[in-house]
Amino acid sequence: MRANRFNGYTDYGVGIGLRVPHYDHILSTKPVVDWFEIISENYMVDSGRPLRILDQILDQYRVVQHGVSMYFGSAQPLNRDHLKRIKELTKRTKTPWLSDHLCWGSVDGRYTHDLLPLPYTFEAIRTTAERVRMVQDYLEIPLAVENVSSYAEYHESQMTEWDFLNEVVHTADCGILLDVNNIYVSSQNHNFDPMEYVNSIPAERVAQIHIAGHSKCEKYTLDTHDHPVLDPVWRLYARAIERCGPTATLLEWDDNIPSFEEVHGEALKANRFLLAAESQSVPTDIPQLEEVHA
Amino acid sequence: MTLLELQRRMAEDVRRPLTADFEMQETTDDGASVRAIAASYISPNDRLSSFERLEIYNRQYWFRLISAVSEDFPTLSALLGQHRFDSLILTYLNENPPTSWTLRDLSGKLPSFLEAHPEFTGRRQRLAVDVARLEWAYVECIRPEASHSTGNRRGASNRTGV
Repeated sequence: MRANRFNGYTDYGVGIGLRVPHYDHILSTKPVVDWFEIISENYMVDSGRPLRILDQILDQYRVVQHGVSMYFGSAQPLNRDHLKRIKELTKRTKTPWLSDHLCWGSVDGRYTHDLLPLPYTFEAIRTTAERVRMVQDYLEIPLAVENVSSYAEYHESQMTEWDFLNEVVHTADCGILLDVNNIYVSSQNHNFDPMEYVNSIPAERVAQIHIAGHSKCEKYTLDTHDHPVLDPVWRLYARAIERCGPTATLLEWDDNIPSFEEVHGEALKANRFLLAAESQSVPTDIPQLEEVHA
Repeated sequence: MTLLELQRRMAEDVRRPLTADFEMQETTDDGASVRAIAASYISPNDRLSSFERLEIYNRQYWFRLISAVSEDFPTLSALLGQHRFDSLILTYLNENPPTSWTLRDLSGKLPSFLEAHPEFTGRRQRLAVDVARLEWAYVECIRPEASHSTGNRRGASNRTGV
């Protein structure tokens, strides 16, 4: 929903990820942007240029933190140094909510630096929800967990991905960062109906939505964030907005990054759905955007 | 299989070095079949075997780390040449797997590693070590940010055509 307890009762519109190639343009021309999402880990340093840039951005814009190394689903204790540094950064950014991924990525002190899928088991629900609660209690700001794209499924899984996500957020009492591109990518890799996934999400817990581009390979679909958003993803986005109402939306573009104007223009296409939802007349037709497959 | 057992199993498989053709190895160091291991915990689908699905993550692990270290040392790469630099990075990462939540820490030991392994630099070792130290100092002081992102590099598929 637009403003809820999982996004700090904020009413953010369409944002984009803050990326290095756009620093100079943003700082010199000060374009109008609703908000920027930063990758927390890129700014969790003691000093230096990253923080100087961030401070200049914070003078002008609203910033929301998005993490990649929390690994809520890892089976072992949380990394206290990581948590401490995130908390320090939240005080700097005053992020109204914070998100990270529903995945695992570290074990026995070694990091994969990947967003690895969890087995959809009751043990994983208990472990993950407990860790989400601990982080939320420590950081003292609302948390949203993001569904990841995946390329493998486990024999151990006992339920669908959306049932697993719903159980985790209910048990942890946290929000959802709904990535509709990730839903689409995983649906192609695991042969499920992505609309069933979107329809199953508890709309009242959705704090934010991610949109992005992906790439079709010969035998699977890869979450590359190096394209405009494709039509099937816009369709899922339209349905998500229909269910959740106007929700803070962010475009991720991480590779082959074009000009600021192109990235921002792509993100602003979401406004069509958000504005229609404001007037409670979500369009049933989808923008005539060409599908771009590499 | 408990959650911890599964994660230890998969972490070992994901971190296993790739072949010279950037494919997943068929056997482990002790001769076990990686196909059998993958099939023991990963489901196949109508297009990919368990082995192929695991291989996507195995490649992503190595491509992400190689990319992160390479971005830190562009001049060293030019000095050593691509082949020797790639060999250096792979050996370095094998002996120094990531133990930090940030990719920024991944390259920190490379200058001293290079100093201890002259086989990667030949006659230019002193110059190579100085360049490595200088580039690492740049990373620590000036570079805008580390390589964290949420997307998967297309090389994970393109280099092998799965």
